[in-house]
Amino acid sequence: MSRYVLEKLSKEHDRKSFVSGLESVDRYLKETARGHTEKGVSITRVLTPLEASPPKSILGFVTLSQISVEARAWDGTNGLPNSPVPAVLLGRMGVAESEQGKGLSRMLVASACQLAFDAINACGGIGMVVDAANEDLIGFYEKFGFVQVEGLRLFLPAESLKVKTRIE
Amino acid sequence: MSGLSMATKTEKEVTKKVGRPRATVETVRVSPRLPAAVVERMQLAAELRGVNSSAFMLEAIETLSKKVIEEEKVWKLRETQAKEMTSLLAKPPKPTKFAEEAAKLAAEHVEIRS
Repeated sequence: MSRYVLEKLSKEHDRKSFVSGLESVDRYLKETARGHTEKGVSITRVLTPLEASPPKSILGFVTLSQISVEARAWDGTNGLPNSPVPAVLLGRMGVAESEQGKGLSRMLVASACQLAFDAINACGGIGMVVDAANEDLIGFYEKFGFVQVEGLRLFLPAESLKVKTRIE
Repeated sequence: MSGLSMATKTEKEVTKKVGRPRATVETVRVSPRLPAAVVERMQLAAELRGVNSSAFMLEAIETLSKKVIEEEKVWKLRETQAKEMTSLLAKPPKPTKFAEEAAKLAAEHVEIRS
């Protein structure tokens, strides 16, 4: 039985009270996320309690957008198309300090993977890219199978997003 | 180090104050509070470049802004990264147990609304 709702960020949500402990993450949610969601630059979805009413408290959030992956034709890179190909970017994620340690991060990433899989299944794409907020979080994403490719950036092929327990 | 104030001037206002048309685009005055050492280093760098502090800051801000925006929209792979991606796509890793458990947990507890 569902306990939480993951829905698009709107004016119904209480952004001001959200504190994750990471200033850049909090600032993005408070100052940028709603504008970007309204303009379609990216989509931020927030996790709220199932029965919440406005102003709904935000327990966590994920921000997804499209990214183009570009590669020149080098030897040994025949598997990549010559033209830019789309992927889904999990650019930002945060969990409220008061809710940390309850497994919400895991559920948020799993939900983001589900959304990415659906988007790729409908429109195409080679996989999911993640920008970890800091080095400490790289190991967390690696547990999901993401592979570190550059700095704080990780990748998981679309095929690997098919998780039986969630995706039919 | 905190605070950022901004004041906007239209082209007309800028023109009126200086008596001749200097700006062809809207300008904004930004007054960030910065550590003195950073300002000193920036001024030295600007002098070495032979430009004033405003021009130096503009160039640095433009360069970094474009880089950050582009990185979020286009991922240009270097050769080694492209090879790693190629091998990942050729042989996608199987979902991990951790991912399966997380997906199960999310399926039970999270309702995704469009």
